[in-house]
Amino acid sequence: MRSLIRWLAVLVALVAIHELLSEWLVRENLVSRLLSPGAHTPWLSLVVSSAFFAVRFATLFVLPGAMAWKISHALFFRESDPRIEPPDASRARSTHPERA
Amino acid sequence: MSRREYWIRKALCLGLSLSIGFVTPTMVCHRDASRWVADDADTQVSLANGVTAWVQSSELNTRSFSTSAQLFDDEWVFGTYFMAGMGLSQLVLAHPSEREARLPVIDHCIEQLLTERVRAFDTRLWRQDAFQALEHGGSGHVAYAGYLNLLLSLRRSIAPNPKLDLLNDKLSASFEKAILASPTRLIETYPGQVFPVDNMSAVGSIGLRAIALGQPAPSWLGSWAQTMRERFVDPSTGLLYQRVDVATGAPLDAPRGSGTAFGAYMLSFGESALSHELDVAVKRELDAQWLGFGGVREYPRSMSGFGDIDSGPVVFGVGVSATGFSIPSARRLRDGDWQARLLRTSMLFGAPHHRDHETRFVSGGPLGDALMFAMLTAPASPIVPLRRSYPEGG
Repeated sequence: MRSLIRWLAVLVALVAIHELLSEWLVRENLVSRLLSPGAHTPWLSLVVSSAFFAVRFATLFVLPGAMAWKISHALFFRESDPRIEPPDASRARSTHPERA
Repeated sequence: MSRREYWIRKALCLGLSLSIGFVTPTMVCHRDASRWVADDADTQVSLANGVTAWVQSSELNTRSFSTSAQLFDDEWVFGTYFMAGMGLSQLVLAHPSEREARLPVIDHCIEQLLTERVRAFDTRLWRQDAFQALEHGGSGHVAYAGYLNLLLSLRRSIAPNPKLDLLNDKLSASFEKAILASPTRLIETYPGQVFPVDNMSAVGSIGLRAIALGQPAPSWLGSWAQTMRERFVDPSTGLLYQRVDVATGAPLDAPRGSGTAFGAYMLSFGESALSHELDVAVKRELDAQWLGFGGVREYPRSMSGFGDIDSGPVVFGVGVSATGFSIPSARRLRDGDWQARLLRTSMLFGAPHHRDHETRFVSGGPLGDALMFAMLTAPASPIVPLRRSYPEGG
């Protein structure tokens, strides 16, 4: 559950950063300079635009799937359930010479 | 838990997370895209407000852009006013109740286009002012005057304006004379440079002027379109050559997505048959799609090439300009799926930002916002001028 909350916090933080960056960039007109990219493109524009798209793509493409993975994992493999250990690990333990 | 049950649960987790991971971006981007597909008036008005703010800004000048070349910076200022004027005119034709509010802004765009400052790029390259040249029977200047005349014809479809209509008449007559006198039926964009796409603006403007006046289309339009098909459309792909030789008309560049789609947009105002053929070719030859998003290739699949100032960045073969310019093609073909895919991509990379009834694209800037506005409001059917009885203004 704790890791789920951590992921949720990351999601909220990224969405907030995305909104703040959108608000700032739409005023500063920095990203549109990438429409004609080249050696002349200001580095600040390049860095900020890359950061914006990294955050946007992470928020849209990575986090929903990662959140779904965490939630489904929490549902299908309850953390308090001792049976959560993978089959390979339990087999390895049972065949350990000291425990055997 | 058995080994089998463990892996079944893992597979379910993976399937669920992959499904949500794939579906969420499509759904989020579709939220904005669907409003545009439905021609939602509030959405169009909101972007119109954003574009109006750009064109009325005193800071809109060549410093607004940084293409590294003075010519392109100047062209982009020109393009911003042109696209804004087109988009606003299209909005008024779709929603006549917007006429009173938008007509002064359209006229402001035209006034700006007529200033020496904005037409300086054309004057510099031709070493002659476009109006002086056309007044004295010269030709060329289609990069400036062709686009201007298309906007004048569209403006005429909304409401009469004696001064602008006279200019529209002069430019149309001048282009008609130049086109018919040219052995290739094409006019130069700049000295020694012929781009068929720019000629589409001149021809579209002449056809649209006739529609605005309630006159039949000029008789030569059909044969002009046939010449284009035979000489300047690539026979294997049906796409328009980007650049041709001024004397012979031989192709100097590949058939390309940005030129074909933009040419089809401008031609659709005055010559719908060839425009339709170009729309179909763009969809057939250049459509690219993945996970509910769509793009349009800059070059046919059998070719490869780099991006330039016309195409914008080309990523994995997909061109930014070609994708944006193809939105009107999807609208005219009434291909809702294609339109939705292109719009989702536009929303993903454009990143629309809504605030106080005003929309701007984070990656748009003045030209990007104005261009997207014109593409998103492009008419799906031939223009029907506003009724003459509509109150006059402007």
